[in-house]
Amino acid sequence: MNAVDGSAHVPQESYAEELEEELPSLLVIVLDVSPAGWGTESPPISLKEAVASLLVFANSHLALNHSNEIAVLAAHSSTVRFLYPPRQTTSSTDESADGNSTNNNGSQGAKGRVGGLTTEEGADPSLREGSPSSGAAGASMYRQFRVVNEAVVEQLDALLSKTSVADIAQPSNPDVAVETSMVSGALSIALSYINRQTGGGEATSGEDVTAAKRARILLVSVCSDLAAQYVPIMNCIFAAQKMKVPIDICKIGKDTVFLQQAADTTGGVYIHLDHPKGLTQYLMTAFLPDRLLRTHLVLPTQSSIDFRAACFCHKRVVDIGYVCNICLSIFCQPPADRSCAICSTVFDPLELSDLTKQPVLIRPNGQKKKAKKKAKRDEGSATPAPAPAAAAS
Amino acid sequence: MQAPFTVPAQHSGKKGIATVSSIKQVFEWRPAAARDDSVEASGDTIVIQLGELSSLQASPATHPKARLKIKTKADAQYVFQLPNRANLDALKTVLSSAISAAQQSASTTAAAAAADSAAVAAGSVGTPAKNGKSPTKAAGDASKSSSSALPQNKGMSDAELLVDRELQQSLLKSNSELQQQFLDAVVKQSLPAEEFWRTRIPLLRMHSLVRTQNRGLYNVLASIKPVSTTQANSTGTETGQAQVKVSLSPDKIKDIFRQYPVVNRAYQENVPPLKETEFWSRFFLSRLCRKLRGERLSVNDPVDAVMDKYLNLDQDGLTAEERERENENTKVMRFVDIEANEEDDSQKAGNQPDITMRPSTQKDALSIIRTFNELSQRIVDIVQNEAEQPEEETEKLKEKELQLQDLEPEAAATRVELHLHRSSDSGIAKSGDDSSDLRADQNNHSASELLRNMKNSLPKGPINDLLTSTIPSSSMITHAQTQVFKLIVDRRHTEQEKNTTADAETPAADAAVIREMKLSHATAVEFLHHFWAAFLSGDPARAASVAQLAASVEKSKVRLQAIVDRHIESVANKDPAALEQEKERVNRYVGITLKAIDSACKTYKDLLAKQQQQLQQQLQLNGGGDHGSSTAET
Ligand SMILES: [Zn+2]
Ligand SMILES: [Zn+2]
Repeated sequence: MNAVDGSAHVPQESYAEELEEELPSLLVIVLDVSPAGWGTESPPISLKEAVASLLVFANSHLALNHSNEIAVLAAHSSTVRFLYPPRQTTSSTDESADGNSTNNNGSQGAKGRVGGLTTEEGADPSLREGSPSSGAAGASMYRQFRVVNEAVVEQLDALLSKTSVADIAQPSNPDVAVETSMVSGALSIALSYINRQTGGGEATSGEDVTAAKRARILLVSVCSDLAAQYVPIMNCIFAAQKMKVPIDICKIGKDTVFLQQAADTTGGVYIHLDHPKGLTQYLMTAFLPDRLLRTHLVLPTQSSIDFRAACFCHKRVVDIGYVCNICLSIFCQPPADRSCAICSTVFDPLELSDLTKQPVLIRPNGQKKKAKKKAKRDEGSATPAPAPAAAAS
Repeated sequence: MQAPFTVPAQHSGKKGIATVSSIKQVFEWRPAAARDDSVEASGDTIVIQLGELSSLQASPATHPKARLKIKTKADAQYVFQLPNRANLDALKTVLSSAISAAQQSASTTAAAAAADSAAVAAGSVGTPAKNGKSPTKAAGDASKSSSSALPQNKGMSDAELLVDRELQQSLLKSNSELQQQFLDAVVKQSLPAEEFWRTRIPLLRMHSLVRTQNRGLYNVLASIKPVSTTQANSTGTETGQAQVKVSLSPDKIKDIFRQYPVVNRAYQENVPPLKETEFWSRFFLSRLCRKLRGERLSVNDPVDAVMDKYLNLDQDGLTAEERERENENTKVMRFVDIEANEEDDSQKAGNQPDITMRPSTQKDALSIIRTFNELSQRIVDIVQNEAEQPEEETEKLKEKELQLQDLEPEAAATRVELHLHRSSDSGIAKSGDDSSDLRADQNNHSASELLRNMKNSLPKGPINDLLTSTIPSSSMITHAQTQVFKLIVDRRHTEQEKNTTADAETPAADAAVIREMKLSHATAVEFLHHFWAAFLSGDPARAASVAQLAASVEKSKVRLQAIVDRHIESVANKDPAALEQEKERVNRYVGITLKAIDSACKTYKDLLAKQQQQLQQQLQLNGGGDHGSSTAET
């Protein structure tokens, strides 16, 4: 994004060295826009405020280093869409984000990067023409900020105004909105975008890739039910861990199990906002430092993590699960037909019966034993009393 | 083994029968003629007590004749020739297991050690002059057969492991952490030892396996580091005068002989004229030693008339002619038989010979490679005793080795795709709606309402206004800031705790309390573990021990609580605020453990009450049925 930073008139030589040392940082913001989170009568923070806070945050990120880059994704109930960088043909099609649209965005971003210092005209006109609101008001704003801000607001508007009730309704019950959003899809697209931007595919040695550009993901999540996406989310988490991309979670509303694991595994920050109205403050103090800086900081992240998993059979979060020892699938109860529902491994009936045994606390043959046992218990509970006393002295 | 083992065998040319009787504990050979004329032949009969046998030595598998040499502790030796190899192997196995059994009963020596000593003895006393190969092979045979005679699965079942006190003692000795746990739980808190071990059967099994392992062979020459007292040796200007200090144990000498038959041969042929110490000091200075170590030979190396004679002997210490003679009888495998594959010789098509087959190039490097390959091969041979593998199998193995696998077409990766099938096999499949209690309070909004609300809250108007209009109130900023700082402080604490085990900040008294806490925590966890194991076993026979364990769990709570209380008391004279803080801090340490204990106790008591009630009902029912009439009568 050097093209739009307005510094083209400054002699480039004097800055060149400095620029190379300060590696650019790519931030991908994923905004959860599920209506179930934002559309309630009194949401913890209104969508408008949240977007404004995010824009302030995005602008701050861009202000830190003029080669910093940003991307904004919206995770809707069933679709994912790039808000920035926007699709080149802004208003021509209203089809939701799919592989095609991400390709367009990706190649556009890549062009900007490979070209390095492309001219202002190169990347800009389409954006400008596509944004009718960029009028006199924009003149007072730093150009790059304006481009991002306008694109995000505009694209979000386009996405949501075209959403119909049918898009967000549950298939079984058309009156009720789905509780989930495509977080796993958004994370996948974010990771692919990062991979393309950082040249992950073409680089030969893995270490150089991460050094070339630092990337991270910030997920602003409002929906609480992600159990159905357990496997894809876990896959994204491990991919991010391997790519050394931290996933930060800014959680509004109820805690979500897997997102804590996402932040913990990838070295990101998880904050469950106690005061969502102060979103700007949270973003600026907790989420702004980039990956390199974080090694020197104590991160404001939750220390206790919910490591529970969801069962594969009903997508429910389980406290005690049964794991197939062959394919590691998780189930909430021992299989009724003695075989794994995923890989069909037939389990040892002996082992299985161990899992389903009912505790027997009383010997079935009469009261004599029971009386004896009771006596033993009394005797047992009588002994501990002197023990602590002895220890105390 | 109870019935005597009998096999036909020749001794000094006479035909006869060899018998091993495990009951009488003797090995016996009597000539076949003895049956016709017992008086005359009785002088020829050989009877050896099994306890007197010291070593067995079989002729190598490649040898045309199947011979077994038996040595006694009195140093007498007998050679028997058997009709075929199968007989030889059978006799050897029987004998070696009988020997080890006899030794086990006779002395306290473990069978493994016996096998070891038998192996070493065979290696050292073998006569290498005749056949350089035999000592190593025989040693391998002896050690292998006697170790295979050890019952492999003895004492490995759960029940046997649980009662093997000696094994448990030895495991405790080797694992101090476990020993501490044992002391706390079993000795102090009177957890039955059987319960303690019941949850650690895999540990016991592993330890038992570890104990039966013997240390393998290693390159003994590399482990001997001669210390030269003059610098001259390294420059090589003084020949033979250099003083070398080498410490050699008899075991190491035996190992050298086993691994390097060349040295054995040199020793056998030269030690009567030379003194033993002189032999070794010359050996370690010689080029022979350098060669065997895999070091590069240079023209400056000292010359030694005696040792250099052996420089050109092959791996088994044979000269070229001896090797030739030896080879006449051995079958050359087809794949490495150059004569048999003459038409496939690529050199005839104009190719240069393989690098290892060229006469002059890189001779040094090659000899090093060869030395190490030979040594590795020899050690592998000693261990797995290749001779016992059938010929065809070896050939097949070699064939596999020779295949050019990278010329094979690449096999497509066969991934197994995992899909959930039969998801409807249990009735809960569609009960997803009731699972999430989160939904209940949110689902009263209809989809259209939600959507309308959200669309209404979309940002509208100029962006400047949007950004300036939504600055949070200062109280919100403070709240948010406070949460972030609190998270940072908490995080720092946990990170510190993770990094420092006993941090310097903690006062000594505190450290003592923490140690005590840790100990009683560990004990509590131990009891919880046993409690749940017994509780969930569903075994009526363990019902009594469940009750006992439940009591112990409760006890451990009292213990833990006592430590906490005492600690709080000790800081009670501080101001109340600090006291509260301390209470909270300590409770954070022990809270989870106490919760786990409470949960276990509650589960137990609830279920016990329920089952008692059931029992009562059952008794009443039974009583009504059986004695109903009698009670009515009285
Ligand atoms: Zn399930
Ligand atoms: Zn499975």
